[in-house]
Amino acid sequence: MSRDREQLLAETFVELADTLVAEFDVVDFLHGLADRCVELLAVDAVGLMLADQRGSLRVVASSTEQARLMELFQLQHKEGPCLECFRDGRPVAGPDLALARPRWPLFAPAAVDAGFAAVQALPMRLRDEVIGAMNLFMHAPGQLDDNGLRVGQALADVATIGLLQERNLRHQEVLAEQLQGALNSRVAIEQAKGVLAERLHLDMGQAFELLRSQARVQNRRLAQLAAAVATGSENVADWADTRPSR
Amino acid sequence: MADARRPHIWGLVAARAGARGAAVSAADACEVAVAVAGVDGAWLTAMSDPARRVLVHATGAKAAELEELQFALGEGPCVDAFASGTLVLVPELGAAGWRARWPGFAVAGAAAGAGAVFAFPLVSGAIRVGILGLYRDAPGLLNPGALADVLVCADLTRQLVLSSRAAVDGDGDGAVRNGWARDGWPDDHAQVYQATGMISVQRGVGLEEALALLRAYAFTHERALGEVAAAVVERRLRLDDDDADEPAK
Repeated sequence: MSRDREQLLAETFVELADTLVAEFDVVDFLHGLADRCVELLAVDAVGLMLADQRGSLRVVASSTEQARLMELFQLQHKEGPCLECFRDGRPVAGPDLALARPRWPLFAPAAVDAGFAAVQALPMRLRDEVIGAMNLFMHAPGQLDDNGLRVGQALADVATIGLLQERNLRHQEVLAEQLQGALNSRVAIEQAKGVLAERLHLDMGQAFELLRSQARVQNRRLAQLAAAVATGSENVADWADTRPSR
Repeated sequence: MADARRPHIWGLVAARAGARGAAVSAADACEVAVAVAGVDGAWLTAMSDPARRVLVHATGAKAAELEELQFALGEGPCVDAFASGTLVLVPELGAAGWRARWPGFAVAGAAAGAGAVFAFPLVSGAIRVGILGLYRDAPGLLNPGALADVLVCADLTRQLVLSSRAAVDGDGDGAVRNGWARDGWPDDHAQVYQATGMISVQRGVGLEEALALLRAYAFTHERALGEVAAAVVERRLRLDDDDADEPAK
Protein backbone atom coordinates (compact mmCIF):
# COMPACT_ATOMS: atom_id res chain seq x y z
CA MET A 1 0.00 0.00 0.00
CA SER A 2 1.41 3.42 -0.88
CA ARG A 3 2.16 5.80 1.95
CA ASP A 4 -0.56 8.21 0.86
CA ARG A 5 -3.17 5.52 0.83
CA GLU A 6 -1.97 4.19 4.16
CA GLN A 7 -2.24 7.64 5.65
CA LEU A 8 -5.68 8.15 4.25
CA LEU A 9 -6.75 4.76 5.51
CA ALA A 10 -5.54 5.60 8.98
CA GLU A 11 -7.35 8.92 8.90
CA THR A 12 -10.52 7.27 7.72
CA PHE A 13 -10.54 4.98 10.66
CA VAL A 14 -9.76 7.84 12.95
CA GLU A 15 -12.97 9.47 11.85
CA LEU A 16 -14.98 6.27 11.80
CA ALA A 17 -13.84 5.32 15.22
CA ASP A 18 -14.41 8.79 16.61
CA THR A 19 -18.01 8.27 15.75
CA LEU A 20 -17.95 4.88 17.37
CA VAL A 21 -16.62 6.21 20.64
CA ALA A 22 -18.90 9.20 20.92
CA GLU A 23 -22.67 9.32 21.03
CA PHE A 24 -23.62 6.88 18.37
CA ASP A 25 -25.95 7.99 15.58
CA VAL A 26 -26.21 5.21 13.05
CA VAL A 27 -27.27 7.27 10.08
CA ASP A 28 -24.67 9.92 10.71
CA PHE A 29 -22.04 7.22 11.10
CA LEU A 30 -22.95 5.61 7.82
CA HIS A 31 -22.99 8.92 5.99
CA GLY A 32 -19.50 9.54 7.29
CA LEU A 33 -18.45 6.10 6.14
CA ALA A 34 -19.87 6.63 2.70
CA ASP A 35 -18.02 9.94 2.33
CA ARG A 36 -14.76 8.41 3.42
CA CYS A 37 -15.14 5.44 1.12
CA VAL A 38 -15.43 7.76 -1.85
CA GLU A 39 -12.13 9.36 -0.96
CA LEU A 40 -10.31 6.24 0.14
CA LEU A 41 -11.28 3.95 -2.69
CA ALA A 42 -11.17 6.59 -5.41
CA VAL A 43 -14.75 5.96 -6.49
CA ASP A 44 -17.35 8.57 -7.30
CA ALA A 45 -20.30 7.67 -5.13
CA VAL A 46 -21.16 5.25 -2.34
CA GLY A 47 -24.52 3.99 -1.16
CA LEU A 48 -25.24 1.85 1.88
CA MET A 49 -28.17 -0.44 2.30
CA LEU A 50 -29.19 -2.35 5.38
CA ALA A 51 -31.93 -4.92 5.64
CA ASP A 52 -34.83 -4.11 7.90
CA GLN A 53 -36.46 -6.62 10.19
CA ARG A 54 -38.49 -8.04 7.34
CA GLY A 55 -35.40 -8.62 5.25
CA SER A 56 -36.08 -5.81 2.81
CA LEU A 57 -33.17 -3.59 1.88
CA ARG A 58 -33.45 0.06 2.79
CA VAL A 59 -31.19 2.86 1.73
CA VAL A 60 -29.64 4.24 4.89
CA ALA A 61 -26.90 6.49 3.63
CA SER A 62 -25.14 7.68 0.54
CA SER A 63 -22.44 10.11 -0.44
CA THR A 64 -24.62 12.00 -2.88
CA GLU A 65 -28.28 12.46 -3.50
CA GLN A 66 -27.80 11.00 -6.93
CA ALA A 67 -26.53 7.71 -5.64
CA ARG A 68 -29.48 7.69 -3.29
CA LEU A 69 -31.81 7.73 -6.20
CA MET A 70 -30.00 4.79 -7.67
CA GLU A 71 -30.37 2.79 -4.51
CA LEU A 72 -34.04 3.56 -4.43
CA PHE A 73 -34.28 2.51 -7.99
CA GLN A 74 -32.64 -0.84 -7.29
CA LEU A 75 -34.90 -1.48 -4.42
CA GLN A 76 -38.04 -0.65 -6.31
CA HIS A 77 -37.29 -2.84 -9.23
CA LYS A 78 -35.74 -5.63 -7.27
CA GLU A 79 -32.69 -5.88 -9.39
CA GLY A 80 -29.13 -4.70 -9.38
CA PRO A 81 -25.68 -5.49 -7.93
CA CYS A 82 -26.57 -4.42 -4.40
CA LEU A 83 -29.49 -6.80 -4.22
CA GLU A 84 -27.50 -9.67 -5.69
CA CYS A 85 -24.71 -8.98 -3.23
CA PHE A 86 -27.13 -8.95 -0.31
CA ARG A 87 -28.78 -12.18 -1.44
CA ASP A 88 -25.60 -14.11 -2.11
CA GLY A 89 -23.34 -12.55 0.50
CA ARG A 90 -20.57 -12.11 -2.09
CA PRO A 91 -19.03 -9.13 -3.86
CA VAL A 92 -20.71 -8.29 -7.17
CA ALA A 93 -19.00 -6.22 -9.85
CA GLY A 94 -20.36 -4.47 -12.92
CA PRO A 95 -17.26 -3.09 -14.61
CA ASP A 96 -19.06 -1.79 -17.70
CA LEU A 97 -22.68 -0.90 -17.21
CA ALA A 98 -23.09 -0.05 -20.90
CA LEU A 99 -22.87 -3.81 -21.52
CA ALA A 100 -24.86 -4.86 -18.47
CA ARG A 101 -28.41 -4.45 -19.79
CA PRO A 102 -28.94 -8.24 -20.17
CA ARG A 103 -28.02 -8.73 -16.54
CA TRP A 104 -29.83 -5.70 -15.11
CA PRO A 105 -32.35 -4.57 -17.74
CA LEU A 106 -33.71 -1.72 -15.64
CA PHE A 107 -30.81 -0.80 -13.39
CA ALA A 108 -28.03 -0.68 -15.96
CA PRO A 109 -29.52 1.88 -18.35
CA ALA A 110 -30.72 4.03 -15.48
CA ALA A 111 -27.28 4.02 -13.91
CA VAL A 112 -25.71 4.98 -17.23
CA ASP A 113 -28.24 7.79 -17.58
CA ALA A 114 -27.22 9.00 -14.16
CA GLY A 115 -23.62 9.19 -15.28
CA PHE A 116 -22.21 5.99 -13.81
CA ALA A 117 -20.29 3.48 -15.92
CA ALA A 118 -19.24 0.91 -13.33
CA VAL A 119 -20.42 -0.43 -10.00
CA GLN A 120 -19.11 -2.67 -7.20
CA ALA A 121 -21.12 -4.12 -4.32
CA LEU A 122 -19.53 -5.50 -1.12
CA PRO A 123 -21.43 -7.45 1.54
CA MET A 124 -21.83 -6.22 5.09
CA ARG A 125 -21.82 -9.41 7.10
CA LEU A 126 -22.54 -10.09 10.74
CA ARG A 127 -21.71 -13.61 11.92
CA ASP A 128 -23.34 -15.82 9.32
CA GLU A 129 -25.88 -13.27 8.25
CA VAL A 130 -25.64 -10.61 5.56
CA ILE A 131 -27.09 -7.44 7.03
CA GLY A 132 -26.68 -5.23 4.00
CA ALA A 133 -24.40 -4.12 1.24
CA MET A 134 -22.05 -1.30 0.40
CA ASN A 135 -22.48 -0.09 -3.17
CA LEU A 136 -19.64 1.76 -4.92
CA PHE A 137 -20.26 3.76 -8.11
CA MET A 138 -17.76 4.99 -10.68
CA HIS A 139 -18.11 7.45 -13.53
CA ALA A 140 -15.58 5.57 -15.66
CA PRO A 141 -15.75 1.89 -16.58
CA GLY A 142 -13.37 -0.50 -14.80
CA GLN A 143 -13.16 -2.11 -11.39
CA LEU A 144 -11.27 -1.87 -8.14
CA ASP A 145 -7.93 -3.59 -8.06
CA ASP A 146 -7.30 -6.39 -5.56
CA ASN A 147 -6.00 -3.98 -2.97
CA GLY A 148 -9.00 -1.73 -3.34
CA LEU A 149 -11.36 -4.67 -2.95
CA ARG A 150 -9.57 -5.79 0.18
CA VAL A 151 -9.58 -2.36 1.74
CA GLY A 152 -13.22 -1.87 0.75
CA GLN A 153 -14.21 -5.14 2.36
CA ALA A 154 -12.23 -4.30 5.50
CA LEU A 155 -14.10 -1.00 5.69
CA ALA A 156 -17.41 -2.81 5.32
CA ASP A 157 -16.37 -5.29 8.04
CA VAL A 158 -15.26 -2.65 10.50
CA ALA A 159 -18.42 -0.66 9.88
CA THR A 160 -20.51 -3.76 10.53
CA ILE A 161 -18.75 -4.39 13.82
CA GLY A 162 -19.10 -0.75 14.70
CA LEU A 163 -22.83 -0.94 14.13
CA LEU A 164 -22.98 -3.44 16.95
CA GLN A 165 -21.58 -1.04 19.46
CA GLU A 166 -24.67 -0.11 21.29
CA ARG A 167 -24.22 2.38 24.07
CA ASN A 168 -26.50 0.11 26.07
CA LEU A 169 -24.40 -1.89 28.49
CA ARG A 170 -27.14 -4.44 28.92
CA HIS A 171 -26.84 -5.37 25.24
CA GLN A 172 -23.13 -5.98 25.65
CA GLU A 173 -23.87 -8.22 28.60
CA VAL A 174 -26.44 -10.14 26.57
CA LEU A 175 -23.81 -10.77 23.90
CA ALA A 176 -21.35 -11.83 26.58
CA GLU A 177 -23.87 -14.27 28.04
CA GLN A 178 -24.48 -15.71 24.60
CA LEU A 179 -20.76 -16.18 24.10
CA GLN A 180 -20.42 -17.96 27.43
CA GLY A 181 -23.46 -20.06 26.64
CA ALA A 182 -21.93 -21.10 23.34
CA LEU A 183 -18.68 -22.03 25.03
CA ASN A 184 -20.42 -24.02 27.77
CA SER A 185 -22.55 -25.81 25.20
CA ARG A 186 -19.53 -26.82 23.22
CA VAL A 187 -17.71 -28.04 26.31
CA ALA A 188 -20.77 -30.08 27.30
CA ILE A 189 -20.94 -31.61 23.81
CA GLU A 190 -17.30 -32.67 23.96
CA GLN A 191 -17.71 -34.08 27.46
CA ALA A 192 -20.84 -35.95 26.36
CA LYS A 193 -18.95 -37.43 23.42
CA GLY A 194 -16.39 -38.74 25.89
CA VAL A 195 -19.06 -40.24 28.11
CA LEU A 196 -20.79 -41.95 25.18
CA ALA A 197 -17.53 -43.15 23.69
CA GLU A 198 -16.61 -44.78 26.97
CA ARG A 199 -20.01 -46.22 27.84
CA LEU A 200 -20.90 -47.51 24.38
CA HIS A 201 -17.45 -48.19 22.94
CA LEU A 202 -17.67 -45.66 20.14
CA ASP A 203 -15.22 -43.31 18.50
CA MET A 204 -15.82 -39.59 18.85
CA GLY A 205 -17.43 -39.23 15.44
CA GLN A 206 -19.94 -41.99 16.16
CA ALA A 207 -20.59 -40.54 19.60
CA PHE A 208 -21.41 -37.15 18.13
CA GLU A 209 -23.75 -38.60 15.53
CA LEU A 210 -25.53 -40.61 18.20
CA LEU A 211 -25.91 -37.53 20.37
CA ARG A 212 -27.38 -35.58 17.48
CA SER A 213 -29.78 -38.31 16.45
CA GLN A 214 -30.96 -38.75 20.05
CA ALA A 215 -31.54 -35.02 20.33
CA ARG A 216 -33.76 -35.21 17.25
CA VAL A 217 -35.55 -38.36 18.43
CA GLN A 218 -36.19 -36.89 21.88
CA ASN A 219 -36.89 -33.44 20.46
CA ARG A 220 -34.44 -31.81 22.82
CA ARG A 221 -31.83 -29.11 22.27
CA LEU A 222 -28.46 -30.65 21.54
CA ALA A 223 -26.66 -28.62 24.21
CA GLN A 224 -29.22 -29.48 26.86
CA LEU A 225 -29.07 -33.21 26.09
CA ALA A 226 -25.27 -33.04 26.03
CA ALA A 227 -25.20 -31.49 29.49
CA ALA A 228 -27.44 -34.26 30.81
CA VAL A 229 -25.27 -36.95 29.25
CA ALA A 230 -22.08 -35.34 30.49
CA THR A 231 -23.24 -35.10 34.09
CA GLY A 232 -24.59 -38.63 34.06
CA SER A 233 -28.21 -37.68 34.58
CA GLU A 234 -29.23 -39.25 31.27
CA ASN A 235 -29.49 -43.02 31.02
CA VAL A 236 -27.68 -43.88 27.82
CA ALA A 237 -27.60 -47.64 28.24
CA ASP A 238 -30.55 -48.16 25.92
CA TRP A 239 -29.12 -45.78 23.35
CA ALA A 240 -26.98 -48.63 22.09
CA ASP A 241 -29.93 -50.06 20.23
CA THR A 242 -30.45 -46.83 18.31
CA ARG A 243 -26.86 -46.34 17.22
CA PRO A 244 -26.56 -45.12 13.64
CA SER A 245 -25.21 -47.95 11.51
CA ARG A 246 -21.54 -47.67 10.60
CA MET B 1 -6.22 9.56 26.11
CA ALA B 2 -8.46 6.66 25.30
CA ASP B 3 -10.36 8.58 22.66
CA ALA B 4 -7.26 9.24 20.61
CA ARG B 5 -5.91 5.75 20.91
CA ARG B 6 -9.06 3.90 19.91
CA PRO B 7 -9.22 5.23 16.32
CA HIS B 8 -5.55 4.50 15.89
CA ILE B 9 -5.92 0.90 17.03
CA TRP B 10 -9.05 0.29 14.95
CA GLY B 11 -7.19 1.60 11.94
CA LEU B 12 -4.25 -0.73 12.52
CA VAL B 13 -6.51 -3.76 12.88
CA ALA B 14 -8.58 -3.02 9.79
CA ALA B 15 -5.50 -2.21 7.72
CA ARG B 16 -3.96 -5.52 8.74
CA ALA B 17 -7.10 -7.40 7.78
CA GLY B 18 -7.27 -5.54 4.49
CA ALA B 19 -3.67 -6.41 3.75
CA ARG B 20 -4.39 -10.08 4.48
CA GLY B 21 -7.41 -9.99 2.25
CA ALA B 22 -9.58 -11.60 4.89
CA ALA B 23 -12.27 -10.56 7.31
CA VAL B 24 -11.26 -8.70 10.44
CA SER B 25 -10.49 -11.32 13.06
CA ALA B 26 -9.04 -11.97 16.49
CA ALA B 27 -5.74 -12.79 14.80
CA ASP B 28 -5.49 -9.19 13.57
CA ALA B 29 -6.25 -7.80 17.01
CA CYS B 30 -3.70 -10.11 18.68
CA GLU B 31 -0.99 -9.20 16.21
CA VAL B 32 -1.66 -5.50 16.65
CA ALA B 33 -1.47 -6.00 20.42
CA VAL B 34 1.96 -7.61 20.03
CA ALA B 35 3.15 -4.73 17.86
CA VAL B 36 1.92 -1.89 20.08
CA ALA B 37 3.04 -3.57 23.30
CA GLY B 38 6.52 -4.41 22.10
CA VAL B 39 6.21 -8.04 23.17
CA ASP B 40 6.89 -11.34 21.43
CA GLY B 41 3.51 -13.05 21.36
CA ALA B 42 -0.13 -12.99 22.40
CA TRP B 43 -3.07 -15.29 22.91
CA LEU B 44 -6.81 -14.83 23.22
CA THR B 45 -8.83 -17.21 25.34
CA ALA B 46 -12.59 -17.34 25.73
CA MET B 47 -13.55 -18.54 29.20
CA SER B 48 -16.67 -19.02 31.23
CA ASP B 49 -14.99 -20.40 34.35
CA PRO B 50 -11.57 -21.80 35.27
CA ALA B 51 -12.59 -25.27 34.08
CA ARG B 52 -14.05 -24.23 30.72
CA ARG B 53 -12.12 -22.36 28.11
CA VAL B 54 -11.10 -22.40 24.47
CA LEU B 55 -8.07 -20.80 22.89
CA VAL B 56 -9.43 -18.53 20.16
CA HIS B 57 -6.05 -17.51 18.75
CA ALA B 58 -2.36 -17.67 19.57
CA THR B 59 0.28 -15.82 17.59
CA GLY B 60 2.72 -18.72 17.86
CA ALA B 61 3.55 -22.02 19.52
CA LYS B 62 5.06 -20.40 22.58
CA ALA B 63 1.98 -18.27 23.17
CA ALA B 64 -0.19 -21.37 22.88
CA GLU B 65 2.05 -23.22 25.30
CA LEU B 66 1.89 -20.47 27.92
CA GLU B 67 -1.87 -20.39 27.60
CA GLU B 68 -2.16 -24.14 27.98
CA LEU B 69 0.22 -24.28 30.94
CA GLN B 70 -2.01 -21.98 32.93
CA PHE B 71 -5.09 -24.03 32.14
CA ALA B 72 -3.30 -27.28 32.90
CA LEU B 73 -1.97 -26.01 36.22
CA GLY B 74 -5.07 -24.04 37.11
CA GLU B 75 -2.91 -21.08 38.09
CA GLY B 76 -1.11 -18.11 36.61
CA PRO B 77 -1.62 -14.47 35.67
CA CYS B 78 -4.49 -15.26 33.29
CA VAL B 79 -6.30 -17.35 35.88
CA ASP B 80 -5.95 -14.54 38.43
CA ALA B 81 -6.95 -11.86 35.93
CA PHE B 82 -10.10 -13.77 35.04
CA ALA B 83 -10.97 -14.37 38.67
CA SER B 84 -10.46 -10.76 39.72
CA GLY B 85 -11.46 -8.94 36.55
CA THR B 86 -8.32 -6.79 36.84
CA LEU B 87 -4.99 -6.64 35.03
CA VAL B 88 -2.16 -8.84 36.17
CA LEU B 89 1.21 -7.55 35.03
CA VAL B 90 4.28 -9.70 35.61
CA PRO B 91 7.41 -7.92 34.48
CA GLU B 92 9.72 -10.71 35.60
CA LEU B 93 8.23 -14.16 35.97
CA GLY B 94 11.46 -15.53 37.41
CA ALA B 95 11.44 -13.14 40.36
CA ALA B 96 10.99 -14.75 43.75
CA GLY B 97 7.66 -13.15 44.65
CA TRP B 98 5.79 -14.78 41.78
CA ARG B 99 6.95 -18.24 42.77
CA ALA B 100 5.11 -17.93 46.05
CA ARG B 101 1.93 -16.94 44.22
CA TRP B 102 2.14 -19.53 41.43
CA PRO B 103 4.51 -22.30 42.47
CA GLY B 104 3.75 -24.32 39.36
CA PHE B 105 3.42 -21.68 36.66
CA ALA B 106 6.24 -19.41 37.78
CA VAL B 107 8.65 -22.28 37.20
CA ALA B 108 7.02 -23.86 34.15
CA GLY B 109 6.40 -20.53 32.43
CA ALA B 110 9.95 -19.37 32.97
CA ALA B 111 11.21 -22.74 31.73
CA ALA B 112 9.10 -22.24 28.60
CA GLY B 113 10.99 -19.01 28.03
CA ALA B 114 8.62 -16.32 29.27
CA GLY B 115 10.47 -13.38 30.80
CA ALA B 116 7.40 -11.22 31.27
CA VAL B 117 3.67 -12.01 31.10
CA PHE B 118 0.74 -9.55 30.99
CA ALA B 119 -2.87 -10.65 31.39
CA PHE B 120 -5.85 -8.49 30.39
CA PRO B 121 -9.34 -9.66 31.32
CA LEU B 122 -12.06 -9.10 28.74
CA VAL B 123 -15.08 -7.84 30.61
CA SER B 124 -18.57 -6.89 29.41
CA GLY B 125 -20.37 -5.21 32.25
CA ALA B 126 -20.58 -7.81 34.97
CA ILE B 127 -19.46 -10.70 32.77
CA ARG B 128 -15.91 -11.84 32.12
CA VAL B 129 -15.66 -13.42 28.71
CA GLY B 130 -11.98 -14.24 28.50
CA ILE B 131 -8.38 -13.10 28.53
CA LEU B 132 -5.91 -11.39 26.25
CA GLY B 133 -2.46 -12.61 27.30
CA LEU B 134 0.91 -11.26 26.22
CA TYR B 135 4.44 -12.50 26.82
CA ARG B 136 7.91 -11.19 26.18
CA ASP B 137 11.09 -13.24 26.12
CA ALA B 138 12.96 -10.52 27.97
CA PRO B 139 11.72 -9.36 31.38
CA GLY B 140 10.65 -5.75 31.90
CA LEU B 141 7.61 -3.56 32.41
CA LEU B 142 5.27 -2.38 29.71
CA ASN B 143 5.82 1.31 29.18
CA PRO B 144 2.79 3.46 30.11
CA GLY B 145 1.93 4.32 26.52
CA ALA B 146 2.05 0.68 25.51
CA LEU B 147 -0.18 -0.28 28.40
CA ALA B 148 -2.86 2.18 27.31
CA ASP B 149 -2.68 0.93 23.73
CA VAL B 150 -3.04 -2.68 24.83
CA LEU B 151 -6.08 -1.78 26.93
CA VAL B 152 -7.73 -0.49 23.79
CA CYS B 153 -6.65 -3.63 21.91
CA ALA B 154 -8.15 -5.78 24.62
CA ASP B 155 -11.44 -3.95 24.44
CA LEU B 156 -11.50 -4.17 20.67
CA THR B 157 -10.70 -7.87 20.88
CA ARG B 158 -13.61 -8.32 23.24
CA GLN B 159 -15.90 -6.57 20.76
CA LEU B 160 -14.65 -8.75 17.93
CA VAL B 161 -15.20 -11.93 19.89
CA LEU B 162 -18.68 -10.83 20.94
CA SER B 163 -19.59 -9.89 17.40
CA SER B 164 -19.18 -13.43 16.27
CA ARG B 165 -20.27 -16.51 18.14
CA ALA B 166 -18.34 -18.42 15.52
CA ALA B 167 -15.30 -17.82 17.68
CA VAL B 168 -16.42 -20.66 19.92
CA ASP B 169 -18.66 -22.75 17.66
CA GLY B 170 -21.25 -23.62 20.27
CA ASP B 171 -22.87 -26.29 18.12
CA GLY B 172 -19.72 -28.20 17.50
CA ASP B 173 -20.76 -28.89 13.96
CA GLY B 174 -17.69 -27.28 12.50
CA ALA B 175 -19.60 -25.03 10.12
CA VAL B 176 -17.53 -22.18 8.78
CA ARG B 177 -19.31 -18.92 9.38
CA ASN B 178 -18.93 -15.70 7.42
CA GLY B 179 -16.95 -12.87 8.83
CA TRP B 180 -14.49 -14.98 10.74
CA ALA B 181 -11.77 -17.27 9.54
CA ARG B 182 -12.30 -20.09 11.94
CA ASP B 183 -10.37 -23.30 11.78
CA GLY B 184 -12.37 -25.05 14.42
CA TRP B 185 -11.31 -25.91 17.92
CA PRO B 186 -7.74 -27.11 18.14
CA ASP B 187 -7.92 -30.91 18.47
CA ASP B 188 -6.26 -30.95 21.83
CA HIS B 189 -8.84 -28.53 23.18
CA ALA B 190 -11.78 -30.67 22.25
CA GLN B 191 -9.88 -33.71 23.47
CA VAL B 192 -9.40 -32.26 26.95
CA TYR B 193 -13.17 -32.22 27.43
CA GLN B 194 -13.68 -35.55 25.69
CA ALA B 195 -11.09 -37.10 27.97
CA THR B 196 -12.83 -35.55 30.96
CA GLY B 197 -16.03 -37.31 29.94
CA MET B 198 -14.24 -40.60 29.47
CA ILE B 199 -12.43 -40.37 32.80
CA SER B 200 -15.63 -39.52 34.64
CA VAL B 201 -17.05 -42.85 33.43
CA GLN B 202 -13.83 -44.84 33.91
CA ARG B 203 -13.35 -43.67 37.47
CA GLY B 204 -17.00 -43.14 38.40
CA VAL B 205 -16.45 -39.52 39.35
CA GLY B 206 -17.91 -36.17 38.43
CA LEU B 207 -16.59 -33.98 35.62
CA GLU B 208 -14.78 -31.58 37.92
CA GLU B 209 -12.87 -34.38 39.58
CA ALA B 210 -12.17 -35.99 36.21
CA LEU B 211 -10.52 -32.77 35.01
CA ALA B 212 -8.53 -32.61 38.23
CA LEU B 213 -7.31 -36.17 37.64
CA LEU B 214 -6.29 -35.29 34.10
CA ARG B 215 -4.44 -32.19 35.25
CA ALA B 216 -2.74 -34.07 38.06
CA TYR B 217 -1.54 -36.80 35.73
CA ALA B 218 -0.12 -34.26 33.29
CA PHE B 219 1.63 -32.41 36.09
CA THR B 220 3.06 -35.53 37.72
CA HIS B 221 4.34 -36.95 34.46
CA GLU B 222 5.51 -33.55 33.13
CA ARG B 223 3.46 -33.87 29.97
CA ALA B 224 1.36 -31.28 28.19
CA LEU B 225 -2.30 -31.44 29.10
CA GLY B 226 -3.38 -31.72 25.47
CA GLU B 227 -0.97 -34.56 24.87
CA VAL B 228 -2.29 -36.55 27.83
CA ALA B 229 -5.87 -35.87 26.75
CA ALA B 230 -5.08 -37.15 23.25
CA ALA B 231 -3.60 -40.31 24.72
CA VAL B 232 -6.75 -40.90 26.77
CA VAL B 233 -9.08 -40.24 23.82
CA GLU B 234 -7.03 -42.50 21.56
CA ARG B 235 -7.13 -45.16 24.26
CA ARG B 236 -3.37 -45.28 24.59
CA LEU B 237 -3.69 -44.25 28.20
CA ARG B 238 -6.13 -45.07 30.95
CA LEU B 239 -6.00 -43.25 34.27
CA ASP B 240 -6.47 -46.16 36.60
CA ASP B 241 -6.56 -45.85 40.32
CA ASP B 242 -2.89 -46.36 40.90
CA ASP B 243 -1.77 -44.55 37.73
CA ALA B 244 0.99 -47.09 37.36
CA ASP B 245 -0.82 -49.09 34.73
CA GLU B 246 0.06 -47.12 31.60
CA PRO B 247 0.19 -49.06 28.35
CA ALA B 248 3.15 -48.37 26.10
CA LYS B 249 2.53 -45.40 23.77
